[in-house]
Amino acid sequence: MGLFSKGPKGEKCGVCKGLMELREERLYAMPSVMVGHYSQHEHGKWYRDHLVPIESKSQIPTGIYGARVRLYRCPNCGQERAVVTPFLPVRDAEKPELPVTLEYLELDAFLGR
Amino acid sequence: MENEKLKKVDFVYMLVFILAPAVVFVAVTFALVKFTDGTGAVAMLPVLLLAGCVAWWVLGYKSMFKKGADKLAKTMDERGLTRNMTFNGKGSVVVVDAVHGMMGIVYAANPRKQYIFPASRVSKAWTDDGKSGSGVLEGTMRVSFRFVVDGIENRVDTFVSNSKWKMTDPKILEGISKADTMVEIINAAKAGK
Repeated sequence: MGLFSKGPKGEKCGVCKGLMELREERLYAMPSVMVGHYSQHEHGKWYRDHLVPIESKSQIPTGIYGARVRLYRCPNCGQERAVVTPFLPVRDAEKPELPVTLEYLELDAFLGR
Repeated sequence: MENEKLKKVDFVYMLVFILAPAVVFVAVTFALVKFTDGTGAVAMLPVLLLAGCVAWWVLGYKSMFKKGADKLAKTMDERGLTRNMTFNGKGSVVVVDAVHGMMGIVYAANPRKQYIFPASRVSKAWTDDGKSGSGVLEGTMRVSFRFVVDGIENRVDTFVSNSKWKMTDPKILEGISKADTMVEIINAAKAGK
C-alpha cells in the first residue's frame, strides 16, 4: 500500500468527500478461483455468485482465493459502499489483490439486506 | 505399464533431436560446395538451413513436449481417469487424479513416453521454497514441489528467477501456494481419496 493510497479505514465518500466509517467486515472464500487463475471482476453480480461466507481464514482450502468485504457508511450523507479485497492465503501470509469498490446496491441481496 | 520405471531423459530421442538437423545442415552444405559453384540463390541455402535448425531446436522442443502432454491427457481420458489437477512445468507436466488415486507425467526430455501410475508409488511429496540467507538477505530464487516415485526424485518448478526474491513477495507466495496445492493433491491421491 503506497504512502498516499487509501487504507481500509480511510475510504472517502464520493458525494460529500467526508471520511466514511467502517461498519462491518466479512470474510468469504472464492472456491471457483484457484491460484494462478485470478482475474479482477468489477461487477457485483460476479461476487454475489462466487463468494461463500466463512468464519475464519483457516476454512479456505490450499490454493483457493478468499476475500474480505468491508462495508462503509458516510456519517454525514448516509452514502454506503462495499470494498471487496480478494487475497490468496499462503501459510501464515497473504497475497493481496487490488481492492474493488462496489455500490451497496450491487451487493444488497448478497449481504442479506 | 503402471509399474514401469520413470525415465526422465530419452537419450536416443535427445541425440536424434539435436543431431538430425545438424547432420542435414552439414550434408546439404557439403553437397552445395562440392556440386555447385556456390553463387547466387544457392549460396543462401546454408543460411536458411541454419535458421531452420535453430527454429527446430527452439520451437521443435516445445512442440514435441506439448504433443506429449496432449497425448498424456488424451490417454488418461480414454482410460476413464479424472484430471483433477494439471501442472504444466517447464521440464515436465504432472497430472493428478485424486478420485482414482492415479498420476500421469510426461517429461520434456522424453516426450514420446507418457507415464500413468498409481499415486501410491509416491513415497514422499513436499514443497521446496528454496529459502536461503538470513535477515535482509533472506530470500529465494526457486520454488518447486518435489516428489519421489520408486526412488526417483522429481522436481517441478513453480517459480524460477536468476535473482533473489523476498519470501514475502507476491510472486514467491503464489509459487509456494501452487507447490502446496500440488503436494496436497498428490498426498490426497496417494491416500486414495
